[in-house]
Amino acid sequence: MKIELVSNINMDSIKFYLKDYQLLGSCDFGNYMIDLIDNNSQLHKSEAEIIFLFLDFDELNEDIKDVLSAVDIFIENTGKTVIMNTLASSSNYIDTFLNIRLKQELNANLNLVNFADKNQNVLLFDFSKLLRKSNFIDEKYWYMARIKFSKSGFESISRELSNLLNAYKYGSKKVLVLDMDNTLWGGVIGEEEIKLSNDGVGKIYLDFQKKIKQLKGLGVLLVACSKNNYNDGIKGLEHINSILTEDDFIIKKINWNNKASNIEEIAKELNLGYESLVFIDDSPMERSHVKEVIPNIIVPEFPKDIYSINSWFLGVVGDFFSKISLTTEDLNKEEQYLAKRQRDFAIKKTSYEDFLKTLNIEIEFQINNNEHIERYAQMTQKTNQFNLTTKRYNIAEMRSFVESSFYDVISVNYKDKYANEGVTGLVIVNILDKYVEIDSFLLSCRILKRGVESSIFSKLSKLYFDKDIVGFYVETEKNRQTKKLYETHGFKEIDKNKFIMSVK
Amino acid sequence: MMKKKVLNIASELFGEEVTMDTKIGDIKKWDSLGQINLFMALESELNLSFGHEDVIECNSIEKIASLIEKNEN
Repeated sequence: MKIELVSNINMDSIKFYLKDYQLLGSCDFGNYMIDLIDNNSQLHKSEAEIIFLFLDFDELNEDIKDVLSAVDIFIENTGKTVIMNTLASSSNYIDTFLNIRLKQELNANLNLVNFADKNQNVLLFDFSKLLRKSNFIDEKYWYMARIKFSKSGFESISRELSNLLNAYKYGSKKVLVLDMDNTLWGGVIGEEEIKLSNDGVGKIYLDFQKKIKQLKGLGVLLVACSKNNYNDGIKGLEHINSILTEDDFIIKKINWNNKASNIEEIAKELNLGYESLVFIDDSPMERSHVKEVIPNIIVPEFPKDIYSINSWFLGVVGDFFSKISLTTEDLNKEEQYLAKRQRDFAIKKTSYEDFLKTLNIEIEFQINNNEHIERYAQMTQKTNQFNLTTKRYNIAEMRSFVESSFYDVISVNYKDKYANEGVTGLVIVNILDKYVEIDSFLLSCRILKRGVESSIFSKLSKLYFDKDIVGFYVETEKNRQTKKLYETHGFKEIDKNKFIMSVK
Repeated sequence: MMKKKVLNIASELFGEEVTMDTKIGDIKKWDSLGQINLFMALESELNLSFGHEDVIECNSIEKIASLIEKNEN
């Protein structure tokens, strides 16, 4: 997208700092009034889609009303969009306590704001906000070369301009995905008194929550994605000082699953692409994991210094949630998504298998492969939830299984369109004369509910087609979800927790 | 060390690779406006301040590097 720059001072330095957009410079500074009105001017003929009209208040000789009528004429003639700035006195002026300049400034800005409100082709940005930053102006180069702002000044203007252009061209991101502990409050809920209050460090998080709530008011959807016990997470939102409440979040993934899978579910439930999501988490590990699994999601750095969380967040909002207009659709977005999610849940119940089909799951079996013995042993040590017998083996024991002709060690490699999870399933089979016995059967949590179990059973029945298969369930604190595994796959219980699949 | 910093600042500003031999006019963005912006960037990044004449006259990386070395001594 091409931008034409017009100003009453020399603003060409912006071209050194404005990335991603091409700045044309076909107009000399100072002639902007004629350029705007004269329909034979370079500005009228410019191929640029957008005009950036920067007005320096100190150097402005015209009445702002005259400038605005010139802009009006220009827009009527060309239909182009004009970006303008609010006016601010940037150099010293003699005013004492009469506030003459201040009144002029307020008046001019009131005219500007009203004009921009009425005219869809005018986009206005708040320049006085930028000017508050230190070292914005460089007097030496102003008097030497008529270049008014410093490097950091031009950088701020360019960043603001580019946020505005991005909002114009691409619109805002739609969803803010938030971690909870040490993000929405200080400390870990359920383990300590969290910091969220009107004084001390707690005020940092209180102010942060206020900004998040404001952003929600602009139509951004909030989602919680946090590794906590569900009840603990909710307790945090019910905290007496919490600005954000349970109802502010359209989805709450408060569980111990890995965050990338939670985010995959979030995107699916909202039916949005990952590029609409911004993920905020204080943990560098979680951030890099999510970014690695889902490259399209936006994952801003989180400040190490908690005192700068609030100013950092303003930057994040500018970069990703800038909006040039607010539609009623924006304001009703949450309701629409809620309705849509309810429909989706209804569909989901009948077609979970269809959903699995979209994952392009590929499963590969390896039998008695001695390259992964260490990983096999590790899996028996670490897997608790989907583990039928929970027998723990060390590397030497595992090696003897792989090498023995009385045992088969079958491993499962899982891959889908999002990730190659590697070796994530393991079955150890004891081969006896008349039948085979499943000594161990385990799957990593990462690949549960994907139909992998069923593939394993069909593999087993092919491998041992002429023998009965016997399996056991040994109950532990954590493996109850596997209690019915054999029965749901056609095995018969012949003894307590002993199951058989006969050849016939 | 300082030379490397100067090269980095200039390359970043002009969006093109700059070497010790580069001077004004050699690359597209290094014109008279580029010259001023280069000094603005050097002053802000290196926390230095240069005189009017130096800003006009030191229009090659070589001259800038020796100017900064002289300043340091």
